[in-house]
Amino acid sequence: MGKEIIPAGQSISIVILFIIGSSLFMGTSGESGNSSWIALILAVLLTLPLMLIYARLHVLFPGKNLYDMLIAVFGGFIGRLFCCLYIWYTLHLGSLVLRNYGEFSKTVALTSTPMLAPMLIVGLLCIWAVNAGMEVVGRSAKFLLLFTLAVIVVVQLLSIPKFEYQHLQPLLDSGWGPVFQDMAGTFTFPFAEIVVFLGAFTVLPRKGSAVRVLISGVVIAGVIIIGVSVRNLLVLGPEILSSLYFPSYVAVSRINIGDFLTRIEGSSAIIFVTSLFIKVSLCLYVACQGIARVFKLESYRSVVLQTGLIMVCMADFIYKDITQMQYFAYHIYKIYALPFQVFIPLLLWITAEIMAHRSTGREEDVQ
Amino acid sequence: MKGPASRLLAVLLAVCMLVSLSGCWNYSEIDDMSIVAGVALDTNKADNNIQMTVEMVDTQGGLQDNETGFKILSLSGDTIFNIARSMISITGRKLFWSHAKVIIISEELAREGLIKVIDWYSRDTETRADVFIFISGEQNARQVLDLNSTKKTIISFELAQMMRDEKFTGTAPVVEIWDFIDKLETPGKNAIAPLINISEVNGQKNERVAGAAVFVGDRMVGKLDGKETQFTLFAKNDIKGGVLTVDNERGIPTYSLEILSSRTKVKPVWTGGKLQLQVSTLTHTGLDEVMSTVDLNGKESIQAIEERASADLQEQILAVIRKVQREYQADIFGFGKAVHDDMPQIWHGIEKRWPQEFKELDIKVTSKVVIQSTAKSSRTIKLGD
Repeated sequence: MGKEIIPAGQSISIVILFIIGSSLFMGTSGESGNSSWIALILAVLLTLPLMLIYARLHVLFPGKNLYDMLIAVFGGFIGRLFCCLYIWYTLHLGSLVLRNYGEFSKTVALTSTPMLAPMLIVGLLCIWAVNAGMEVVGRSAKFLLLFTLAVIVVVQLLSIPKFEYQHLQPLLDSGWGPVFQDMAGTFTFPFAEIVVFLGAFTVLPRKGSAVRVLISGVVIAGVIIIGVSVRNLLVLGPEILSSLYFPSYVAVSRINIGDFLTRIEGSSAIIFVTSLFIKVSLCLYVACQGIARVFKLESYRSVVLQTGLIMVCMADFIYKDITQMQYFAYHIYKIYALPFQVFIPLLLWITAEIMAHRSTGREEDVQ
Repeated sequence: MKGPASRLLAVLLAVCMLVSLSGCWNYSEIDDMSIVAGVALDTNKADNNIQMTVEMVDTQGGLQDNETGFKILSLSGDTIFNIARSMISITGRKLFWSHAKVIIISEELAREGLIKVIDWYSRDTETRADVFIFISGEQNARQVLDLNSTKKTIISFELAQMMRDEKFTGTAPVVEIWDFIDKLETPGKNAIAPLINISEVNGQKNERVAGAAVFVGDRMVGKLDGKETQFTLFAKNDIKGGVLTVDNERGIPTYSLEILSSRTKVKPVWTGGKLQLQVSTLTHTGLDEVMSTVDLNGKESIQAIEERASADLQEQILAVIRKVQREYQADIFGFGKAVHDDMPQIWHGIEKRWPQEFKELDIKVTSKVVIQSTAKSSRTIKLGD
């Protein structure tokens, strides 16, 4: 089994695109109105220690991914049980993201096309990419990131004439309560979702590179998300913002440069597809790795097609409609995701530290 | 699988995909649609529901004509979307909304509340929310669109062009639907919308946009005329241009100042246990017309004109604020928002009874008009002896 290694630059691109994936268009949790950017900054700060823990896991278990770690620490049976949980989580997350895209195209872009069609096309693309391997995903991520950044920067500059700075006032209008609520919301979606990347730790090259990849990825993605959120806020205002499913799309539709450069929201939707492609691919890859590990398969490649199709299928029936999706993403998800993002990795880390400590006490080398 | 078999399979697959996957899912040609240019909404008294009149661009017009044709169509129904779809039963084609430019609403409907007629427009994906709103000062909104039969042009496009040039007169607000909804939702702000009338001079009928309809919530409560609207826009910091006329020392309108730029600051202050709003305007102008031969370096200096213009502007702005306070209790100037922004603590205390507070609010206006230039001539026209 040839081991796949992708350079740090490409891993960072994957992390960035993964994090900005759906929140670029879905927006972030917006209880706190015009103070949501404070919540965003706090959420990024809160994510950083978690990233250090994830990175520490990479140091403790070099060359192993999440599933290897779980089985190594908790033993064959309980470890596999945890693995199954993570397989579910990644599979489910992939479906959620696909569904976001499906709802987006159904609601604003391609209104008469059945939702399954765009989801299936992107799903098949992801299956293809994952089947080809992480190196392909990494290389495309690096290329797509440049493209995505270019579009974001251009749109950002073009919307400056529509900025109304008084939307930012008054600061902390409704107090700290909603800000903390938003912080919890944006911490789980999208920042801490990067826990999925633990499942792909085998592709990271050196021992300590996980710190660099995770921290810089989260910080850059945080800056992008804050930039986009503040733009939406300045263009739309907190009241309108809270009523929209896809605030970025509407904010971009307000751009009007001399009655000439208008209606560019359709083109800007492309970046949604690029980042979503990476996000779904990574979810699919990690889910397949898990299945391969639990059932002791030779290679994850034999289950990619099936898992991918299940993902697309699940995306089709996972919600009744867009209001349910909105409710789940902003109200239920922050509780649902916590065990996967924080509790299990924390438990894994503490147990692993104790084990490492004991084994170094007893003998010189574990291996 | 190697060799010619696989190559044949690949070609077959490519052909299948080319035929089935390329192209659009729901493809429709321009001649299968009726392009909507503008909409007028009235109440329909007979059935107690809404009547929608649509002005459409006639794509059938042919290429020889320089003018594009147009069609007018009216239909009543219970909801806007219902009417929009029922139109198909008359035109035979689906209406295409993304190029619609204006929506004219009758005063009667506006007094009942606008939410029920504009929600579809901002919610649906076929429409765009950057459509100009007008309130019809005539009996029906439909009458305005009906002008096209005598004027032979598409009224909606004319109105849209008018709104783009509105910055040179500044006697009517320019309001798009999203802007209107934004005002509805923002606490401490009430909306205004431009008024449209049909003016008949020497037997020629034309549409005329001047003045503003004042709203409380989504209900229209009153009107301001063109002059009052200009000073309202001054208070709102929405003046981009226009003309200020200034009297000479005997009170006869003599000078025209072209507004080059204007900035208004609204500052709430807490003085003597009372809230006071200080509105200060700074307007840069150019002296563009002098209807007399008076010597501008003599007793009627530029400075004197500036002072008279400032005093006049100050008085007029205060007058219109007082009028709105007294008659409509509608915070169209966004004073509540200003208090909210600068004094959130105080705002939360008075938010509930803001309409009452606003009515009794102490307002102080200071205006300053600066004459920067005198256009092409350095002096007034001199009469040769």
